[in-house]
Amino acid sequence: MNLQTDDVINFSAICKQNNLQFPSERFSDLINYLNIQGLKSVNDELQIMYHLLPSNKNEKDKLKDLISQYFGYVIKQDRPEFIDLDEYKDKNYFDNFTDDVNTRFHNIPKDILNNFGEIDFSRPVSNMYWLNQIKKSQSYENEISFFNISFETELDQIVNSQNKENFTNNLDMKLLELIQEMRNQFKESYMPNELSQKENLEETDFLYTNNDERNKLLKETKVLGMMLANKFIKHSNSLSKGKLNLRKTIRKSLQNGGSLYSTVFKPRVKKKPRLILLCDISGSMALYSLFGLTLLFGIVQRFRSVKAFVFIDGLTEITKDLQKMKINNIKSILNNWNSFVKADGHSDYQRSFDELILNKKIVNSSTNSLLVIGDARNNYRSISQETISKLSKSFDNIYWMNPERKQYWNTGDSRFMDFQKVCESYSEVRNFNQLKNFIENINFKKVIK
Amino acid sequence: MNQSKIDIKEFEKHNYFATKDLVDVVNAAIFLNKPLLIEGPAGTGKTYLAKTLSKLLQKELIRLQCHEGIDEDKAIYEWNYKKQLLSIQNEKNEKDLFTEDYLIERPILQSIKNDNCLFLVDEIDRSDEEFEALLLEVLAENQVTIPELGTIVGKKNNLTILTSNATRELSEALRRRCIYFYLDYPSVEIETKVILNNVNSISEDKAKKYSLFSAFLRKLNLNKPPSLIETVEWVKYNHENNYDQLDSNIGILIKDNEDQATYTEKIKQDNEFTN
Repeated sequence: MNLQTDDVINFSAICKQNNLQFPSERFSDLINYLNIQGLKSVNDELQIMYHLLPSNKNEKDKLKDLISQYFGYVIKQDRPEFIDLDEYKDKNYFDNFTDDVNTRFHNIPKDILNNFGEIDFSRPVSNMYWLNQIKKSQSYENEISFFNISFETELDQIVNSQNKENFTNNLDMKLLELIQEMRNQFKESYMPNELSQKENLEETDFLYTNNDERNKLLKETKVLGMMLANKFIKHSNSLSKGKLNLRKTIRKSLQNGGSLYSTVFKPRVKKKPRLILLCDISGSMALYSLFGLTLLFGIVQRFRSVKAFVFIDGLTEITKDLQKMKINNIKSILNNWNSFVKADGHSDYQRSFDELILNKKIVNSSTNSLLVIGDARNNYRSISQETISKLSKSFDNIYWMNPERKQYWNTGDSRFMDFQKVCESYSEVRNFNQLKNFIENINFKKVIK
Repeated sequence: MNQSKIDIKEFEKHNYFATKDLVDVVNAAIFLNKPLLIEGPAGTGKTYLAKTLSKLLQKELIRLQCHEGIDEDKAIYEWNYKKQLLSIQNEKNEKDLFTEDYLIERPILQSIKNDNCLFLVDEIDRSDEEFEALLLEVLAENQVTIPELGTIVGKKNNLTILTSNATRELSEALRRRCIYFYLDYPSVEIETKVILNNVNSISEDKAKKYSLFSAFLRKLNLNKPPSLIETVEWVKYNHENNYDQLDSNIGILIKDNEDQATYTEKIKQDNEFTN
């Protein structure tokens, strides 16, 4: 083994410091395996370490960063390929797209930067700003113009546009690296916080995500919804076993010639426990309602006997719409915003909750759980104590996700204080991690009436 | 157990094109004698990997397809009540009814009793969480306990593979016992090899173009991105029957009404833009 055992042990301590814990047997397995394998280089061994230690995708990503920090080795990944087309004039151009020192590609970003001229790092703008400026420059466009040819077949057309995309992505990454390098040389001359890298996507406020990031997060939000639904199914199953159902037991025993082998039980709770979901889609919720709806979508996909509503100044049920919908279309609910307006289009929690409580089809004597996604901003309307006490009587568990920053709760027209009292749990949910934590911590309480 | 390392070329002989990382992980799983948990989107060759390995290592493949509500009776073993009942009524003499004659073996027990097999637990994420707990004994100790018969311990040279589409989070206890690998959609290089292998008389150049094209499709944010096998079938049909247009026979490639619309629109756009 080229890696020293001490190195591995030290590294495991570093993993622990970074909230990445692996069972010790995994390390011993790894060391065993590496000893037998007899690989030639440390890098190969690190590559195997990257595959053997983690047990989910999240850990893998974290470990990759740590390996590159501690050992200075970047885990190999598939690089997009460039495909040569007949129409390209310079036949050997594509041989040069690897970033080894000897190839032409290595020099392209440097040439572009040199032609761009001086970059003024004292300006309080990010690296991305400079990248965008560089992308407008003539020399950058010259490099890209290589791809501006028209092709006969559709396939070639798309292959060309993919080549272009891969090439520009690669080039942009290199340029960003170079800009960062240059910026580091001028470190002292400006504010240090500009150096800080973009924070973890899962910690980023939903509002500040770009389109791709948002799509990625929305997909994961759907999975979270499914997880929550699973939790509720488990909760509802746990309520199901009650007294012996004699009639059904005897009926079943006929299969075995009248001998009693299996028993059938009555459900302990007569009516199925219900999960009701409410999502505020009024203007003040902005993008958060999209994430709320996606969460609802995930729950509805996994678990059919759930009711999902949106509200502004009155309730509208969207369970059926969500069941038929596909994940890319959730936005269409928000586009049809006006069809959900019942009165004046300003959120009215009083009216919405009254409609909920008075609807006997929704709220019945069985155990109910309620999940609300909303900012509790009631446009200076009042909320009666009666509604709130009825709300807490109708539901055994109330969970509330508030997308507003905690320091603004109960300021201005926010009436969150009134609801806080009756909630089983509530939390600020502005980014993916908060959402994940909230869902993980939900525990449906058993209430048997 | 076959302690020698499997080479990437041996996979290719059996028409499975793997990355070096995957082969490394498979080797590690065989060496450490631990189950291998493979996670990834549908249609990236997770189940096919198990099938190939069973051929390659010359092991019998025993498959357990998980679904919602799967339980002990369907997965491990079940007593044949009806047979027991009949035997009491017929023979009248007292006899031990809990012997192997009356035991119906289900996949897990079969795999434990088999000397040389590859046990595949397919789509574990579709089963309930309780079922995972059942698997733990088998995965960690390679044994099954039947109260009436005692503990049955398996041979050491069986390999277990679990696959998951990640529709739900698997429990920490299960993950801890396995070696993990995330199998993503194939890279252009691998997909090219698969296309070359499956489509008659296609040039390498064209195969590469098609695989880059399918990488482009998967970036389109479709409701259901095309899997590896779907692309290969589509290319095979179109190439061997001389359909040149990209929007011909898309039913083979994309199986969603809206996705088809997005796709044709996108292709049109691309062409207008460059012409």
